[in-house]
Amino acid sequence: MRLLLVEDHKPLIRSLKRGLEEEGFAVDTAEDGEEGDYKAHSANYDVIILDLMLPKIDGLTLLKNWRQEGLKMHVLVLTARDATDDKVKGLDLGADDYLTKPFQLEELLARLRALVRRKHEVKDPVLRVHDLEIDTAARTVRRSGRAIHLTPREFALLQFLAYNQGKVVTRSMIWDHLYDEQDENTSNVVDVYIRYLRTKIDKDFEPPLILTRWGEGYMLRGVND
Amino acid sequence: MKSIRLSLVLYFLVLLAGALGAVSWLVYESTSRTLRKRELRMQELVHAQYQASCHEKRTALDQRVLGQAQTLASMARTTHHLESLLPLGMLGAATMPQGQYLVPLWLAEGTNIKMMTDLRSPEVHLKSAEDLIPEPPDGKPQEYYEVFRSQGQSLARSKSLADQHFLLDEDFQKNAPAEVPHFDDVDLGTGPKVRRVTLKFHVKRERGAQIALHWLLQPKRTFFKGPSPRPGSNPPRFGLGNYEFSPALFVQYARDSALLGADLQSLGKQRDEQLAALEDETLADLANLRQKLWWISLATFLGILTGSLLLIHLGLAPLARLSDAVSRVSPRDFRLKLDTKNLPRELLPIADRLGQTLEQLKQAFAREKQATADISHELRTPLAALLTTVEVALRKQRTPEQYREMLEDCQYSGQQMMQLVERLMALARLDSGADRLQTGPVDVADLARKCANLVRPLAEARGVTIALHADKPVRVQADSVKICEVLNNLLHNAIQYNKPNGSIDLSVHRENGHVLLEVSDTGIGISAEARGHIFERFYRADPSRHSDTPNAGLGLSIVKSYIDLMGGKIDVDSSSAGSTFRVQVPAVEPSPEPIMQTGIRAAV
Repeated sequence: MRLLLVEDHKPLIRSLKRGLEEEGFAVDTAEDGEEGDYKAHSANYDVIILDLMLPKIDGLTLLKNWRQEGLKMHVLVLTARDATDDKVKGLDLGADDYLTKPFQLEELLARLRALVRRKHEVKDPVLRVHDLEIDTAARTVRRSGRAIHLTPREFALLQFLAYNQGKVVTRSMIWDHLYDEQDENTSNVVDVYIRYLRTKIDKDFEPPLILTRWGEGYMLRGVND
Repeated sequence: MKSIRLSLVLYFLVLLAGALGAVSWLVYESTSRTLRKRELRMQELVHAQYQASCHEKRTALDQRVLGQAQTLASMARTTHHLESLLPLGMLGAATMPQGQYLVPLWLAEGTNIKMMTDLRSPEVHLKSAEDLIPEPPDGKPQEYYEVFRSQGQSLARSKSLADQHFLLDEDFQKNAPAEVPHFDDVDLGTGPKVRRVTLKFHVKRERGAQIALHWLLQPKRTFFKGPSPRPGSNPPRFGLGNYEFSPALFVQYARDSALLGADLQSLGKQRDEQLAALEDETLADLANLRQKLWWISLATFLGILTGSLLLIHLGLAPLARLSDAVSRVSPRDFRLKLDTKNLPRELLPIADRLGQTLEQLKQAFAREKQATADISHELRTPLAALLTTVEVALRKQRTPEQYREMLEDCQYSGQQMMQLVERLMALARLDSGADRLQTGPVDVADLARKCANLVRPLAEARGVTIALHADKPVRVQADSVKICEVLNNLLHNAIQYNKPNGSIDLSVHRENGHVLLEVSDTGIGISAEARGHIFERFYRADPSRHSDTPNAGLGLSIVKSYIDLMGGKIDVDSSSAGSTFRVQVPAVEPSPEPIMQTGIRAAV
């Protein structure tokens, strides 16, 4: 899942980026309103974490503009303003969630997961594909009852495939959602991770769940397939 | 606790009771005086009536005795027309022993025998006079009479006199006019007191004989002409020596004045009764008046009391409304919910002042709230960074390099919070008056140079140059720490809001007994609207935060407070080409001590 963090407090950016990346999120950052606006338009983010008091363009203005322009990404407002008025205003302007500083990282993560579920119109935090169970909250994966250990990036890839179960996802889609702006886009990075995932998910089980559509991309086997 | 209502009621009751008492007393006094006067007049009238009745009784008594006396007199007085019998009478008389010398006289006198007989013994004719005296009811004689001759001899007297005698006053006997009654009160010896009338009257003679006698006896003969003498006037007197030809008789008639006394006593009793009745009536009237006044007072008192309670209630109603409105004021809602249009004029200043005070309080509260929100906001971001950093750091085992980075972030956030807290403390100290100037001899030019040197690295990092214009030393007595803080803040702002590759001019010089410090930048300038607010706490022309300059909108407000404390002033000029902050502080000549060099460390 790819996030944009628009925040002007550098230590907070650094620690949040680190914390989120360690949970498998791809995190882009912007330090002021203009940069945030630019980045929001240039990539398809799953969630934007938006501070309100920003240099150059403040967060509420950004949010308003994005919604007016029809941008549909989920926005979680992360701000020091804790007055109810501010929360109401933020939510009414089109924010999907609101979290005040200081906060617990776990709570932020849970809210982000919830937003991702909402994006994919899923209620159950456990994604099921045949005998594969992906618990997005506990970040555990089981196949036929056997626990499978995945790295954050492998988990993110599997989760992305699972959310798009039965649909072909292209390499660039995977790239866009799993890698941040600083990652070098080398053509076979996605293929390498797919291979890792196949080794862990499909090697000892039948039927294989990760399918390759030549010339298109990859697909997690759908229920009817 | 004093209640206006109770006090008003009490004062009013006292006043009312006093007024009612006074009015009642006045009414009672004037009415009782009138009643007393009326009584007095009635008493006089009764007395007058009494006097009149007494007089009437006396007059009646006098009339009674006079009437009786007159009757008696008329009985004593006899007249005859016996001229035809004269010769016979003469003859008869002449034959009698005494008649030999009397007859010619009688003839001359024209009298007759019967008359003579009468004259000589009137008792004969007065025999029936006893009948005049009414029979006394208890046998005790009440009326008396006695008839005297002109010489005073008693001719006849009533049996009731018994052994008593009336006396004829000699002087009266001689000089009293005839037919004129004379009244007097006489003591009848051991007997009762009586009212007596004495009446003198003449026995009548025949006219012919009178004229003859007159003609014969008067040397100067004048004829008596005219009508017979009127009653009351003395008829002409004729006589020879002491012989009276028209002899006078005296009648005295008396009546027991004890009867009158009884009458008068009864009258007196009647009068006393009337007076007593009058007194009773007056007393009854007064009692009635008192009772009426009492009831009227009571009714008035109760009526006015009810009215006054109503009035007080009405009068206090606006106060109650005000108090109600005030009691509804709460920290949540500072509005005075009161319709001042319907408030009486007397309460308007209170309501207005209260409204203003509440408005000020509301603003102060809002500022306080805003300040708290601002402080909390300013603290939240570094705190969030600190906590998040720590949380992320603790999530898994890391390399020493990672720990170092994260700890540095923690330190940064911590320092940011500390700076904020320090600024807040500085403001709190200023607010509480605990912050005092600690002055010493200082060269402000030198101080400015040191401050500029301290911020120069930061300026150079942004490509901003700082030029110092301070040719001569400016030695004054001042608080170097605070001046340094002021310059530091102004220079930081000048760097932060400058354009890249801009410049800052810092000049220090003495002017008209002041030290003038000027900091000019080539920055973006400050809008006219913002210029009015830049010295307010938590005010920021750019609402977004610059994380590398954590001043939270407090810097300039601290600068202003310090300059105020030093008795100076600060103003700002600004255009799109940059801003100039101009600080003026009074130049106090330094005391002859060595210039303090240590303050600069503490200030920075």
